[in-house]
Amino acid sequence: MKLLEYLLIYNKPVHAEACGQFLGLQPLEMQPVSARYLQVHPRLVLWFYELNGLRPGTEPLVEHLKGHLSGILVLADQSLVDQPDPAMEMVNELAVQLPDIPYLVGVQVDAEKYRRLHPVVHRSGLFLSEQGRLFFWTPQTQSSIARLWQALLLGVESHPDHASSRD
Amino acid sequence: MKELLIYLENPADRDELEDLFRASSWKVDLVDDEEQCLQKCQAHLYDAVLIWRATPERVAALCKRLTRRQLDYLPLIPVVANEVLARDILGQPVVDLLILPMPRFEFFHLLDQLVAELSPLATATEDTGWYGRLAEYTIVDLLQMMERMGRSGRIRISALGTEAILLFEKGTVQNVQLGPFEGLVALEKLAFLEEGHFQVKYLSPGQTGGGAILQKENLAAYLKEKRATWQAQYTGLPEPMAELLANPFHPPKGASGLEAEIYRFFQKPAPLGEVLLRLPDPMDQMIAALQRLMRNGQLGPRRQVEQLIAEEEKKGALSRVVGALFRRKEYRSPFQQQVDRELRSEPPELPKAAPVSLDASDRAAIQGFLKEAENETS
Repeated sequence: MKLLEYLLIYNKPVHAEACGQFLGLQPLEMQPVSARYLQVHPRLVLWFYELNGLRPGTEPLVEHLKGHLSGILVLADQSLVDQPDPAMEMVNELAVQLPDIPYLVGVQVDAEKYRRLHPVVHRSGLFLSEQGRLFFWTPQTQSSIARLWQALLLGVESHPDHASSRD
Repeated sequence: MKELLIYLENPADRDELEDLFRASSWKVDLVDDEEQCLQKCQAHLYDAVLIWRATPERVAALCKRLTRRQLDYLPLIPVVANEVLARDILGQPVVDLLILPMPRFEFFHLLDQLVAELSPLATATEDTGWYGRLAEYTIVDLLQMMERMGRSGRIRISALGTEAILLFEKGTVQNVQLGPFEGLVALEKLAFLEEGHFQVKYLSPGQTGGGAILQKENLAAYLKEKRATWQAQYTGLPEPMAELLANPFHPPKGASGLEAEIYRFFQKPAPLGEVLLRLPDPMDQMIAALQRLMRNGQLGPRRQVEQLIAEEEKKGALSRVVGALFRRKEYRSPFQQQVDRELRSEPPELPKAAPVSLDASDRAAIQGFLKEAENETS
């Protein structure tokens, strides 16, 4: 059986619920950290360690996991813009500490703001760092959550025009 | 018996020195190698260290190495061959210097006097010199005193990390040296100082050397008037000892060369007064430029600017990206401008976010799963 491990960081549990529900993740209470998992088929399980912000004592866990993580997803909302936030601090730290692991930041916005974004941003997100991407999602548009998971699990879709121009 | 370490620049002087100190009351160690000199300084507690026939470069190098090894408490007395060298050397942290040639008895008398003055029990006397703070006596006051008494001597100034020398001959200013500045330019800068210390050393007429360089009628009155003008112009600026820092988010644009120069100077925190001593521009222009920079927020008290930087850092990269999309801000920092450019430009090569260990069948399975989930929820 293949087990792919991911780190799921959020600043509001409701975000993790909304996104986890979409994929049908099964919660699992573990100590010292809770987790969710998804059995894609009998030979493939996706495992998500959950961190509610950057709490004291979680650094050793990140340190322990960083050798075998397949990706990191940070879920947040626009309140990050207005005030310092544990999840945002985590984003900054991860970019430095784990430069080789792909990570996505999913920022929840309201449906109107999501509609105002260009389809390229919907599909490919925004460049954060070599391995980091910023995506926007809204609970009202399920495809926005689907894109988030797709980018995390399968990689980011290139814009067809850019892909062809690079070939 | 007092102990002396003598560092010879020229080993050929060894015989002459051994001869000089043979009958003296000093116990002397002679070295002609810098490393050896440092080792001796580390191993013994000398009353003083003499650098014999010192060059400014050698003195500077030794001072630097002594400081690095935390031996800068050792009193260093260079012995030099002429006054031109002396002026260059007095900018270094040395106790004083002795100028050759001089009679043997005078040499030992001065050496004894210098070492005696170093003693914590010593008191400054009117005969040899005196010390004080510029807050009590400004340069203009000192200049008037020397002039009125018609004394010859040397005033050393230490202020805001800078050393300066003023030479007097029978009450007349002969020369002034402040770092790379000389004469009236240096004196004007010093006249504004109220921070730091001075040390007046009286010498016999002719001992200061060099001819009269500074020629200015009514020098004290001229400086007094200038000082009053600058003080009025300075109103509103922080104290000269207050540390300032350039605001990295608000560099001066289209500003004068002097403003840009001052902004560059404060890339690292430094006391406000230091810039007045270090830049060559006239005082009134510098004060005016400082006023403008402070008023425009391009320069600020260190703590205030550091707080601003910390707040900006806390916001982090994410807030800037989100802010760029959803907010309109009047001021955009250089970092934000870079993000804007990034957003406007063609997206860079996207990373392959999929784990390497995911094979084609796994990918197909996840893809199927996601499609199914999307259909179900919609």
